[in-house]
Amino acid sequence: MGTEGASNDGADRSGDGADRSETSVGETTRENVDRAMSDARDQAPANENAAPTAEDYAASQERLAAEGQQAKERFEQQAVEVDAPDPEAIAEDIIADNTRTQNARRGQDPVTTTDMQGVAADIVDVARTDPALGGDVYNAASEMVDAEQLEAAVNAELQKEHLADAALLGDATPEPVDMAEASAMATDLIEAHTHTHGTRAGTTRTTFDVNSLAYDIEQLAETNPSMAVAVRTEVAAQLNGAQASDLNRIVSGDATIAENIEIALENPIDGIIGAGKGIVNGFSAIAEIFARGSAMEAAGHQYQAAGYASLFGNDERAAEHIELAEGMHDAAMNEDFVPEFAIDNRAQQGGETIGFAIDVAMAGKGIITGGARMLAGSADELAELGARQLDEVAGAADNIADDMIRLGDDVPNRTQTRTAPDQADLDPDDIERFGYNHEQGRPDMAEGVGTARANEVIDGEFRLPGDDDLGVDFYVDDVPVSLKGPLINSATGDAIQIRDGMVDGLANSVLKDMRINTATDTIVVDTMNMSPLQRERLRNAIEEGVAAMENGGKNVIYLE
Amino acid sequence: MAHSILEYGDRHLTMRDMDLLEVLEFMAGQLGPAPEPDLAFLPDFLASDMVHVSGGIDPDLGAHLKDDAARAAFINLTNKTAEAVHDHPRRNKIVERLEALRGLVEGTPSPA
Repeated sequence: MGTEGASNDGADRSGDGADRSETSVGETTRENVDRAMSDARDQAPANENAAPTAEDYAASQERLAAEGQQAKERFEQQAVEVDAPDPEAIAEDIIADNTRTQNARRGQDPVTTTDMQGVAADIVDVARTDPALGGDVYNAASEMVDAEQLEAAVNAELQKEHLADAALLGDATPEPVDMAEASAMATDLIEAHTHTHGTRAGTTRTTFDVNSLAYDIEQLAETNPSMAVAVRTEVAAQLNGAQASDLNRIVSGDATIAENIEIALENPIDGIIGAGKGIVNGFSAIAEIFARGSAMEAAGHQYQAAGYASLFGNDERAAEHIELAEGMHDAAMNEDFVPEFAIDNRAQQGGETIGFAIDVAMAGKGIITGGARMLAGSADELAELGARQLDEVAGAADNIADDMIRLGDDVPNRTQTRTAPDQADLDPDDIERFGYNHEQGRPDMAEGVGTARANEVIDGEFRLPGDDDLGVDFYVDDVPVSLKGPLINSATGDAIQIRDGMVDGLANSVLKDMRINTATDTIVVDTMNMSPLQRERLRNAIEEGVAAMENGGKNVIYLE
Repeated sequence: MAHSILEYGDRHLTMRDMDLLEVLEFMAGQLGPAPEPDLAFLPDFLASDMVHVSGGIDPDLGAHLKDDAARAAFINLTNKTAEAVHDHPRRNKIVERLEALRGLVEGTPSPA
């Protein structure tokens, strides 16, 4: 190569046609040549105007290549240092996210607890997008917490995923699916089930309805099981660990009765069919009534008159369920409406529960014929059997309502559930007003938060009782109310790790209030920060206690 | 204001959560570092999660004050605590609550 090699016209003069554009990081051949020329001129000691020689150019080129290579290596090393995920750091973050420290109370040591199932859910969440990293995080976390407990918790999470996919796939043979389509569907589903609400305090809160999303995936599985499995996987990958864990639980067939009833009411057609099937499957005598046809219309009207009005206690809700009952009648006319139906989906399962509850209500009111009562056992036994179902139906139905509760004579003696704003969305002035103890000059945050949350869902003027007004926690207009919960640090308002023993203690206090406290007829039970399983545990304990109670308990309003 | 109901045998006592916790803490403060076994449940309860069960703060007096000796120790503790708070600005209220606690277990056959 002669001096023409130093030409800066950018052409490849070597004659071998090789691409030299990558001789150093970020430099083109043209830039490289220009720089080599410049360097060569700079290094010309004797005569500044002398043209650089080919040797000058070659030396400069060699030096630049070496520098470029070094720069490239430094860059790659830095990139590795910046981008490489650190399993130990991720494990530490996950454990910290799932660890709660109960503040020290008057000089005592703080108590720290870790939600192992939450840790497991988050590790599985990491593994969904990067299995190798998930494994490394698991190993790192095993060194930081009880390894056996973690292993059991992770296995439980993985088992949930396995069961969820098995449930979606059913008897179908897995088929390849377009994962890009699955991912897009997952994103759309998550967006469709994410809702933003305004609060009284003027703030907004965002809720995510994992139950309805799970139902959509279940519906997809009826026509395309393999796609449903792929969408479930993609959805789980986009949710956080706890949400994905809930999704898998529901899809795997472990939805609660309340969750199924919510779905039934959101999907009234299936709910209606399920309700009819539940009645027929549960009580063959009523099946005969339907089958005879002549009694069908009468039964339908009885549902309207006796079932829903008494069950749901307010006009708006009653109208909604009268419509449901009328649809049930139509469904009963369908030729498919014969005894021993299979329950096809969760909406029908929820409807089945509603139908069963209506049957019980009717039996309790003596509406069922003598023959039916003989088949089903005594009316009292039937009523007792269904009491819990009735509460759950009413609770779940009210849970999806946004209407505020009005206390007083109109409140039926039953259980209601409302979703109250998060603690962070409450008006701090309300918390102080309801929780401040003037005698001690400090607040009880549990009282403040619980009462402020009740204030958001119960219609009426709230006021606190006087000093000598023992047994009443607050009044709504003139109605005295007891408050139980929430389970938070009463001094600071901080969240605490809620243990099952505390849930049991809360249930006991509710039952004790029902037995002993004659000052109130209504109890607000604030379940804030409880898991779904803990809420179910609480409700079950209270319902079992009420069933054994001679005075029939009190009205209970659950805040979730 | 949230209330808790303490039970002992067939008796019960209703008290506001904050008032109850305060008086129990005053009592625990009189126990010293090595409380007698019959009363050791008190600091244990105050250190437990159960103090956060709003509306359900109820140390199981029936399970711990099972005999007359334990009951007498508890009553003595209320008396000792009442003396200890003699210069507290809210002495009357605190003593009133101590007396209510004493009344709950006094003169009642032990549940066990």
